[in-house]
Parts: sequence; structure tokens; C-alpha cells
Amino acid sequence: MRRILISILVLWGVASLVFLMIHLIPGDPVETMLSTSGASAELVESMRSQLGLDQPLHVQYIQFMGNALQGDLGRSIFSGTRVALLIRSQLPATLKLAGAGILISVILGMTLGLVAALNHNTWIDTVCVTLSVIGVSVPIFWLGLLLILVFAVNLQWLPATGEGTLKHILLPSLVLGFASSGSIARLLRGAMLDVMRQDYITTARSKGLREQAVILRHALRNALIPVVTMIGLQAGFLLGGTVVTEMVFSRRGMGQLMINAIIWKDFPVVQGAVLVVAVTYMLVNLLVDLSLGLIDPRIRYE
Amino acid sequence: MTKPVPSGRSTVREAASGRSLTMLALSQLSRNKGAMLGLLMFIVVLLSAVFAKQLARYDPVSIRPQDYLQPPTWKHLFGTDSFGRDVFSRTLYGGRISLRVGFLSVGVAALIGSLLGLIAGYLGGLIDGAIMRFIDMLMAFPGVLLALGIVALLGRGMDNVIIAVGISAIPGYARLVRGCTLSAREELYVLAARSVGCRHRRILFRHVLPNILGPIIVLSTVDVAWAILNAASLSFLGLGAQPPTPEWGAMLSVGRGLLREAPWQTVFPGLMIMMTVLSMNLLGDGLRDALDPRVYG
Repeated sequence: MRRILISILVLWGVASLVFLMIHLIPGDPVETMLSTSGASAELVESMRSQLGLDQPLHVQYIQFMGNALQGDLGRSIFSGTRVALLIRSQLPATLKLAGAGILISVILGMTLGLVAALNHNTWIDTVCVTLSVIGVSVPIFWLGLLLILVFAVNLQWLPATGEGTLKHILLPSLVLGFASSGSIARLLRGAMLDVMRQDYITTARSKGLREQAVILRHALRNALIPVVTMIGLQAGFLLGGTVVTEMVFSRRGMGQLMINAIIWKDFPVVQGAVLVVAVTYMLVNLLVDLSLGLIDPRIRYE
Repeated sequence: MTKPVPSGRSTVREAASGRSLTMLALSQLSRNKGAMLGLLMFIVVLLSAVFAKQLARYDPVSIRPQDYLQPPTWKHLFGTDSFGRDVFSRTLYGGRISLRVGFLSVGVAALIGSLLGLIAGYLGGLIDGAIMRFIDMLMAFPGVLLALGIVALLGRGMDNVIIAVGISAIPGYARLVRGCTLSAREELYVLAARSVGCRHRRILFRHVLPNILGPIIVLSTVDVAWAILNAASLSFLGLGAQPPTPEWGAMLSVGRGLLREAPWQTVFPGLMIMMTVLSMNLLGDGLRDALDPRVYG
């Protein structure tokens, strides 16, 4: 309960920061917004009143919060479409990509970390550790372009762009998954090495358990706690990473929406998109924290 | 990667023989193969950026239509782009931009973040609460999103990217330094300093700060890697360096359109980003191991 209360407080803070965004723009926000398209003084005036920017700050704040709570995030200043609708049409594509990315990163990261730890100080360990540090260091847009070059341009096995089928999501989710698997692998390797030195592992072995049971039931379950927290943090990296990945593979989604809105200075859209992605991130982490209690009964949130 | 851990006794002997903890950490670092590889790679990147003018055979921005899209040859090591510009020369100059962005943004972030962390951890109470709740809010924006939002406010351009990446790195330092300060505050030397009448400022900067410098250095090293990666991403998205600036991310963004015809335009600048980031990550890992107080007990 306390954990949920804190989340609500942070949520309120995030929404306030997003509200303040438009007021932190150096210069007049409306003139800045319309500067890319060139607008008459009348249009600037009408836009100002449409956005409610002619009202006192506290009135604007209450209005923004009230609207946001009802799912109303304003309208795009160019197309006039409701921001909530725009986001609703783009968010599923992004969530699907991020979800596929997490799946791959967990599978890949846990395999690398586990194999490395079980072969500590051998060449297998070195290979896994090298792969994971490359994963942390590789620019995802570059990896994406390289995979397109190899698998779409040269081998012509997979499509470079487009969406819909499993084939289309394979390359982008592989890019995202590999890039974020590095952190998971490194963490799991360290945690496993720590856990394997504990007394209860010796006990488990000495009572004659098979090595497989020792590793899976006794060691891995304990090493998993920091890893699950890390998966929550990686969700943030993945949500940011999808923005870049979507641009590389020309996929629909929040990335396209946000980048175009930033370039065209369509602030209501930027505000709405930033708010929704931050809320998504928070929900994921709330779920992760609550699921920790399932893995480790010692962790309880009152 | 094997890491020789000195036994407690030899550490004491080495310490007793007059070698400082810094020297011990450095000798530990020099035995770490990964860190040394990172250092070597970093020196290569650094030198190629510093001496870009001497090493580059062509001007990075002037257009040479007669050299349109040449594949890599001895004349053009990394080939040329669609304006006939030498990709090798542009890549060298790109290092200047990326290193500047990395060190500048992280330097400012480390300064501001550490200061906030020191104040929050040392003073505690209401000020601590206020600072840390603000930091929590910044941390609620995932990954590159905070930097993206700030660039949205300030407008496109490399200077704004530096500010954006810098601000989004602040929370890490504030949290780290606050944690370290909280435990350092309870140490005897702080009590001793206070009992001889030191002012808060002197205690903070002369006694607490030097003792928590290790973790700050480690975080800064890996953060430079992270900042370079983020700044390149923002440039790739068209929000940072604008053409014809020879910035790695921006070069990739242009090269992307000619991936089939001229892959060298994409391969080499990206390879440089990875090498730079990898070098800082390896170095950071090595420093973390070397400075880990557990090794020395």
C-alpha cells in the first residue's frame, strides 16, 4: 500500500513537471510553436486562448491536472486531433516492440549470465562477459542498421521495414533485446557468483541434491532478486530505446509521434507522449516491485 | 578475466611500506586486462580526436563532387559520402564533438549532482526530503526520454543536447553522493573535525568529499560512455548536430539512406561510437574493481 502511495506522489510530480514544460520554454511558447510554420498575430492570439495560456498559472495547472485525470491531454496544434487519440493509436505498437525486446533481453541476458557464472574463470566466461559488455556499449541505431545491412539487404532473409508479422518484429526486438541483455547478464553473473559461495549451497550439495537442483532451486532463485529489479530498470531503457529503434526500422509508434512532434514543436503532443511513457514506466516498476514479494517471501510491502 | 586479490597481510605490508591507497588502486587497475584494453582504446580515440587536423587528409566539410560515394581505398580509408567528403576525416573530427559532449555534460552533471547529494546527505531533514523527491521525479522519466523532453523545450542543436544529457545524468550523482555522505557523516573523522570547530563547508569539502571521491569517479567514467551514446542517439534522431557537422550520430543518420549503396558511411562512424563507449565502460569496470573497498577490507 505504501509503495502504491509513493507511486501516486511521484506520478503527481511527473505530471507537474510535464505541465511546467510548456512554461519553461525560453521565450513565448506559442510563438515558438508556430515559428516553424509561420503564423499571423491573430493565429498566435487564438492559439494562446485555445491552449488556455492567457489564464493565470494556477488556473492552468488545475485545468491541466483535471483534464489529464479524465484522459484528456489536449489537441495537436497542427492537426487538431486529440492527443489521447494519437497516443492510443501509437502506444500498442511501442508496447509490443518493448515487450518483445524485454522477452529477448531476459532470455539472452539470463543465459549469458548463468553460463558465465557456471563456467567462472574459463574461456566461456570470458566470451559471455565480452558479449555482455559489447551489449552495453553498442549504439542500438548502429546495430539496427548493421542487422538491416546483413539480413535485409545482403541475405534478404528478413524485411528491413514494415510491420504486422513476426518476421517484421524480429530484427527490431533483437536489437533492443541484445542491447539491454548486457546489464542483466552482468548482474546475474555477479549475483550467482556471490550466492554459490553461501553456506546453504554447500548444505544443499552435501545432502546429496543433484547439481541441477542446487543451481536452479537454491542458487538461481536467490540470485534472481537483484535481476528482477534490474529488469524493471531496463524497461526504462527499452522504452527510450524503442524511440530510436522505431526510427531505424521506420515503424509506427510513440517514437515517430514524439520525434515529429519535437521537430514541429507540437508541444501538446510532446507533453502527452512524455507523460504516457513515464506513467507506463512507473507501472512496470510498480509491478516489478510487487512481484519481488512472490520470488522472495521475506520482501513485503505494507 | 582473472583478478588477483592481494591477501590482507600483503596489503597491510604494502600500505605500511608507504604506498598510498591510490597507488594500490592504480596497481590493481594496471593488472586488470579489460581495463588496460579500455585505456588503450581510449588513448587511440583521444589522440585521433586531438590530432584530427594533422591526421585528416581532407577537409571534413568541404564538398568534392568528383569523389562522390567512393568505396574504402588507400586514398579514402573509410570511403566517401554522397558529397564526396572523406568519411575517415569526418570520423576523426567527429571524435572531438563526441568527447566534448561526453566530458562536458558529465562534468557539469557530476558537479551539480554531487553538490545536491552532499547537501541532502549532510543536512538531512526537510532539505534532504525536498531535494530527493525532486530527484525521484527526474528519475521517473525513463532512459533517453528526459533528455528528449529537454531538447524539445530548448530546441535542436548540439549545445542543447549537452545540457539535456547533462541534466538527465544529475540524479545518478545526487543519489550516489547522498548515500555515501550519509555513511561518511557518521565517521569518527567528521566528529573529530566538528569537535575542533570546523565549519560545515570545510567539513564537507575537505573531509567528506575526498573520502567519497572513488565512487564518483567510477560513476563518471561509465556515465561518459552513456552520455556519448545518448548524444549520438539524439543526433541520429535529427535533434542534435545538424549537417554538415561531422558528428558520428548525424553521419549515421545520413548514411542510413544509402545503406545499400554505401554501407561504409554507416559502418565506420558507428564502430567509432562503439569503441569509445566500450573503452569507457571497460575502464569504469576496472576502476570499480580497483576502488572497491571490500578488496582491501
